[in-house]
Amino acid sequence: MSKDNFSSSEFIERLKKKEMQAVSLLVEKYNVVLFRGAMAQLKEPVASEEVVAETWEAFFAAIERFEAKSHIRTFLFGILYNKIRERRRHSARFVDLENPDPLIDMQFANDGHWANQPMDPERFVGASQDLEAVENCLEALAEKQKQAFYLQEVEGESREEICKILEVTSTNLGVLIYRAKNQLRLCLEAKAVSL
Amino acid sequence: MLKKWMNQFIFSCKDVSFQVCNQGSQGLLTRFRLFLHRLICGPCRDYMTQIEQMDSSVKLLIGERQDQFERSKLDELTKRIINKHGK
Repeated sequence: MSKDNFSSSEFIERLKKKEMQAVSLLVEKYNVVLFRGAMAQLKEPVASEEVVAETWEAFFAAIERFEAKSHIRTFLFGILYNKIRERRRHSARFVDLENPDPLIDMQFANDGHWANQPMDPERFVGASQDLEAVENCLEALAEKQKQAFYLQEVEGESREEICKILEVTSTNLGVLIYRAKNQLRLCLEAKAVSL
Repeated sequence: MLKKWMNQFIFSCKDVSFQVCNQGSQGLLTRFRLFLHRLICGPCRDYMTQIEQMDSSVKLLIGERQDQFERSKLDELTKRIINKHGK
């Protein structure tokens, strides 16, 4: 079954009736995708498994009200990220989208040219291939930055769908991705210096 | 002189860094300006290569994380969810 058919009104009706075949098709298709998404955020397999199970609970509880305005995958990821947010509510870091990021601004002079030039890629590659270093740098990102980065680069979601999932405008998504990639890059450059 | 011209008519390096991170969402003119900048700005080329290296490393890392969890356990979870919610 193609991605588009999961959002057909006929399939949604079958899901609302909890028809076994429709439920199987959907869960078999998206359980791994959701688990991979949860692992990217939470790192822990057990916590990821719990969050995925909670996501399906919430999905089947809400399917009656689902109006198919967005793709079913978008709807599922929206629930998943809400569940992850709930789990992390106390430790979540605030993402300020309006104010400039001093870490990025320090890289540039007032005329927009490099103040600190990027490291030679041959030196950088050592740190970027050290998966432990990548993992530590990824963990240091704010939650929404990490989610935006994951959806765009790993899942290859369209920008429109990512905006719906994260509830941000296209401009804000651009800023989130920009900050995520630059913070990761600067973190890995720092690791490369110490290698 | 060349840098000043580039800033005015093509992009500043800061603009380039933003556009590189958001590739895929630009129009044809922006992509052409980015291409021109890439040709003449060494640090921007280094920056682009770094971003590409980093993106592929993250994809590799996430793949490895998933492998930590046994496939059979994931199949078990899938079956459990289907049996719970399907009629």
